[in-house]
Amino acid sequence: MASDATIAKLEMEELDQHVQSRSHWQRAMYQLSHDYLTLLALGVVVLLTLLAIFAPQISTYVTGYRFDEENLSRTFSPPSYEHALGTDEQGRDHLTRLIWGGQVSLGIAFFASILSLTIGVTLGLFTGYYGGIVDDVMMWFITTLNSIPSLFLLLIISSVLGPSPVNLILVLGFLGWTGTMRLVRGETFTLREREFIVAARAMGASNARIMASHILPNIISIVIITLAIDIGVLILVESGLSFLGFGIPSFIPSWGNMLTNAQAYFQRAPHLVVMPGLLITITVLCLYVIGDGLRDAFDPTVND
Amino acid sequence: MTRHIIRRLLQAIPTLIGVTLLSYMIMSFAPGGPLSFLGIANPQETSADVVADLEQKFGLSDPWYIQYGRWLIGTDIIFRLPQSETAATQDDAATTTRSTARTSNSVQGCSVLATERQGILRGDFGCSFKWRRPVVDLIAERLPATMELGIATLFVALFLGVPIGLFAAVTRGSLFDNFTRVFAVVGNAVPSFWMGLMLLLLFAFTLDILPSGGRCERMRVRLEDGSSGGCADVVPIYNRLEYLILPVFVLSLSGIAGYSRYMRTSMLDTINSDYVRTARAKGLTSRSVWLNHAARNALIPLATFLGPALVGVIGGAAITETIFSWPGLGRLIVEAVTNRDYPVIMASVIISALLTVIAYIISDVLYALFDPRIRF
Repeated sequence: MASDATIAKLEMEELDQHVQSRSHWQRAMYQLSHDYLTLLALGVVVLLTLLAIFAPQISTYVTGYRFDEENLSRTFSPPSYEHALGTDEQGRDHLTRLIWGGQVSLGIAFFASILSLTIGVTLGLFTGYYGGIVDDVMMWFITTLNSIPSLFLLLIISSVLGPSPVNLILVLGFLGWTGTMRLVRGETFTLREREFIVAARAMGASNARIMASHILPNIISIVIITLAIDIGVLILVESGLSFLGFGIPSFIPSWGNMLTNAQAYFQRAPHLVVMPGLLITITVLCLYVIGDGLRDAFDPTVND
Repeated sequence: MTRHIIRRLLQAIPTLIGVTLLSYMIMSFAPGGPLSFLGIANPQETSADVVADLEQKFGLSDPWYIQYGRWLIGTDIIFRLPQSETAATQDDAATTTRSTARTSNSVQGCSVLATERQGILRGDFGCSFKWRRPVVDLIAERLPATMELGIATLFVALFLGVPIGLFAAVTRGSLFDNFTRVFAVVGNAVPSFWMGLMLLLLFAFTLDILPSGGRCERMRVRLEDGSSGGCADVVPIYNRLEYLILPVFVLSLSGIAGYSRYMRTSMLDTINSDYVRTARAKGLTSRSVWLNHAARNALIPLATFLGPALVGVIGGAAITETIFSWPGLGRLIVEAVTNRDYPVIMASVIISALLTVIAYIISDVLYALFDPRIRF
């Protein structure tokens, strides 16, 4: 056993002399470019994002319907030549609404997770760096917030604010940062004690400079991984809220509230139930896979 | 050990104070302000005299912390403190309303406009706007249904998730391992309400072998008055298992996925430890080593999962209970939010937070009990 290990080590050293050295980012990119599952997931997400961004053009030139174009003579029609995925209870084209719904669901999850990441990273950096009473107060606040089932809080606050996409982004963003904050806080705690931070301080770097240009770059990979997974989680949360009727007002299609309507009529039109949920699942699944792939790429110490 | 439990209980106090503050804030920011809390939907349309009268009667012009304290510990302790100048008139008003409040409280229903409150610390969460019944009664009726669902879910999730995780770790890299890994990721990505709808479509409507919702046969009739219906006392649980199957499956899906992954990691850690290698080296069979030596230790960290799991079940139940018309706390809160029934909302938030804190403490203590290496 021991001799095997030594031989392997020698081989590695020999290899090292031939392999050109790579930076952390180059190595991560190299690893990613060979991770075909992650690349596939990335491709699917990019495709869905493009569909969502170009939803107005697609509905004008490809499907030929507006998302709110009603046709009461053709309600609940099954998939056909005119309506590739059928129509809903008001005769609106299901495919068009799905594409527009993607815009709402993906957009809200994206902006909300950017918001919650910004809050989480900033607060995490501050509390992790300064510690002490700031940390105690923040941790008390987080424990309090976390001891209420988050869905209840989301329900209550979005009902107080009223349903609208912007409100939903604010609610999801302002309630979803605790996990990120804890993660960043923990990392900052350990980084704060490292030699290069001490060295930076000895050279007279200010606290703000240490946080911005020494600690932040070291946690950015965690932030990117969290972003991917967060968007996935928020898509689920948003669709759940919209499904209960507290997220997106029902005249704007989102994958969640399309299912609310589908539930009411699902004996008459089962085809309306399948697609929105399937799209949510695929999107969230791909985002999780991307998150996992990024973790593998950025953190070589983690092995499943 | 006792000291640790006491310390954890003391630590819970600031958290619970925070929860009450938070839910009090939500009530204050509610559309219409605190007056809407008294059942007046449009303060602008109500005459100024009435509003002034009510504000005086309920002390709404007092500073917020006085009002908060009054809500917390009751009107009989805090009501008189701030009003030194108007003490005499307040006293008169208080005595007259006190007698009326008492008479209305003696009946089954309750009055939203009762000026005298016991305070939430003494279990007086006020009166539901919608059902005109004490909130505590409503919650007491709904809580068993949620607990039933939660415990069944936890049971199923543990009894499926743990063995799957153990077996996946033992047969690392096998077809089973890879299949359960995919299942775990997919299980976390499927929205629970869509899963519920698809299952309803298949089992309740297409195949017609399972009920489409509810907790027992006669439930719908009783739900009219806001009560959950006495399923639990009338129909024993083994006679209505078919009502549990779908909601429990939907709720336990993410638990199965989570536990199996967690157990797999934990089991792999133990399998690679020295004492397991020793056990193998002295010639024990694989099965004996895995089950008697490794699995027992791999199970320990799971204790810390129980607290968060229970919270997840309570929170996640709101959606599942709505789909399957399950008369639990989650559905109560969804209905309360829809109806702007603030006393019910606040009480549900506080009680679910209380349950959460207790669950965390229990899982903490269990962890210490299971793992003798942990000392406090």
